[in-house]
Amino acid sequence: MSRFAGDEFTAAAVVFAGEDPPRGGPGGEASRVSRDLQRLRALIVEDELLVAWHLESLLEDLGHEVCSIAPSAEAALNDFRTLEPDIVFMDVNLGAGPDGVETARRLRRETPVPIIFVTAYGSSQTRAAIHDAAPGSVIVSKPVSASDLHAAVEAALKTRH
Amino acid sequence: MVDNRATTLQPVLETALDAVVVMSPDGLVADWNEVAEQTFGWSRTEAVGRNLADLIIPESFRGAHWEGLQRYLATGEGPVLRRRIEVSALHKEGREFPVELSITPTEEAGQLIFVGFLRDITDRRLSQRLLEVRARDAELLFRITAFAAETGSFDEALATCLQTICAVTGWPIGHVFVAPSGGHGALTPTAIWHPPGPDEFDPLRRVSSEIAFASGIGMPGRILASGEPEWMSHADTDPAFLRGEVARAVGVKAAFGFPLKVAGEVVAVLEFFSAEHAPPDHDLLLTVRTIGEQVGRVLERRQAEERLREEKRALEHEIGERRRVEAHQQLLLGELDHRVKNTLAVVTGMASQTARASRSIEEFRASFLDRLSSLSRAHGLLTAHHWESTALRALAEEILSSYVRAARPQVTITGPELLLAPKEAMAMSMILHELITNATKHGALTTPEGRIEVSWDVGPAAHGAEVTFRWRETGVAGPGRPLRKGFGTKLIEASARMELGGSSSVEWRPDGLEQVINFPAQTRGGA
Repeated sequence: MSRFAGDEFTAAAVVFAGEDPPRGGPGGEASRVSRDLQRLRALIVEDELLVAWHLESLLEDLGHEVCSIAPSAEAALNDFRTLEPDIVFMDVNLGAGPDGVETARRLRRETPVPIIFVTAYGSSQTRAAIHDAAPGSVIVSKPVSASDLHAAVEAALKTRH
Repeated sequence: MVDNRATTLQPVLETALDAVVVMSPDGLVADWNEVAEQTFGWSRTEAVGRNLADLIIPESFRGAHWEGLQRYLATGEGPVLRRRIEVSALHKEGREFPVELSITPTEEAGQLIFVGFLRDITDRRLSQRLLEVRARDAELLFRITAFAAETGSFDEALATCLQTICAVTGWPIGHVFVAPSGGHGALTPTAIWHPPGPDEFDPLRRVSSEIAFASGIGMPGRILASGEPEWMSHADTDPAFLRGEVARAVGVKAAFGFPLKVAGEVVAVLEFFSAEHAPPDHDLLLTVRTIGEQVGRVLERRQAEERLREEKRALEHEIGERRRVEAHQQLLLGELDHRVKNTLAVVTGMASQTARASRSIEEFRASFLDRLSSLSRAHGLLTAHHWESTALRALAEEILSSYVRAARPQVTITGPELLLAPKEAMAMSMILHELITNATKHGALTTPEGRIEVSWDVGPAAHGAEVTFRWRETGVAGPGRPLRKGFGTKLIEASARMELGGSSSVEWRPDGLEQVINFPAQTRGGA
């Protein structure tokens, strides 16, 4: 296993391990920033495959487990009820069907589980809609870095406690 | 009695301020004072002893005078006696003039006489007439300018002018011609008449509606040319009135007209017709001239107000439009920000996942740049179609072209017209890229005999139509099923499932692989 250093790539996201790279494990920036955090089971709600995989990699590098990637609101609610994750990473735009804000609103009716929005929508209207649907949710802007993600998880856990 | 003036009347005759005429029962002048001399032009010497009627009563009233005298003598009744009346009197020069008259029968030395007091009221009549004219003109001006200010349109203002002038002057019919804008060309008739008809003037309306008066031609044309009112006392016979024939047919005998001016330019000519010959009423002409100017000013002011309102509306519209443009720009900027961030997120994911699947920097660089190029091509196609949809054929040709250009006969693309939503197009671009990359490295494009058939069709499925996409490689000794799934294989499977909402399968045949992807047709979703 080798990794690049330097600014060209998102921190901790570039790990060479052949066709089926091991994820997470000791070493690397993501691992360093994650050692104070508990291991969480995460549900990623994201309809963009490469973005979802990247987020999965970052979370695994931070020492967490991704229990599922749901590309839609329906899949997200189903996976949440089945898998009972500790934390949810939510995209806003989920293509056809309910968006991430509406999905969070429905989730909030069932559980206080922390929700971290990972979105390219930075407008105040979107933020207001998110806080209306799921008050206390943390928002991270795309493209997301390991340090952003680490800080977001910490903030979300504090909100929970 | 000329030399022997009645003693009782003498002081009256000498001191009266009015003309005093004494008449005997036989109708002869018995006495005549100095004021009577001045009033009627006859000296006392000329008058006394002559028939009074011949001297001072207009011929048309002499019969009535004689009958009244005889009735009084016979019955003692005289309805005009002992009260003031106004009648016409005759001057020695033959002209008639108005007088105020009172006649009292009395006796002088036992004989019946009639004492008449007469006062020339020409000045009073003129004053009255002047007052009436001024009152009429003031009423005209007031009514017309007030109506013109209140009416909603130019045509309504014109109709109001006609109606009011007809009502106040007693002239029965009026009409409007309008001038061409810019002041050039002929006056054209309007349908604005008062009264609108139908009545006996219809032939005049019909003829007038068929005539356009050039400047200087006919009464309307002369008014247009001069900008001044015109009066025609005998329109029915005056050759300068071009509609004389129809005027005679309908009984029109006199006419006048005046211009309506806005900013000094004649915009309309109003004409009126009378069933009686009428001498020029200079007061009325002055008044209608003023009316034309006043109404013109009102219209001018209203036009200016309308222009201001129009400019205000245009300004408000422009401000609103600018705000809408700014809001739209803000929306576009927001959407651009979102799209850029989203694309950067995809590229970041692509980089990280490619890096994880690469054994060296060189391998990473080649794979990443190839994938980035495919992503860029798909973006280009979607942008060309405003990010609405793109055809699968165009997408396949775009993605595959750089790989197969040198050996194009090796690849065939067949399938019906199929439009993909942006998200589907992005997913299919990644799938096509992974398939062609694999074919180049391990499959059909590693040998000149290799062939790739790319095809699709749309058929019925359990929940609506379904697209079946096939990638069939032949002519190559298949490398066989790999021991582990590579990144490309995972990407194809996951894209088919997550982004297309479908499924994928791959069959490893001896002469090459066949990849089949099924997904719902006409699915649409945002990127």
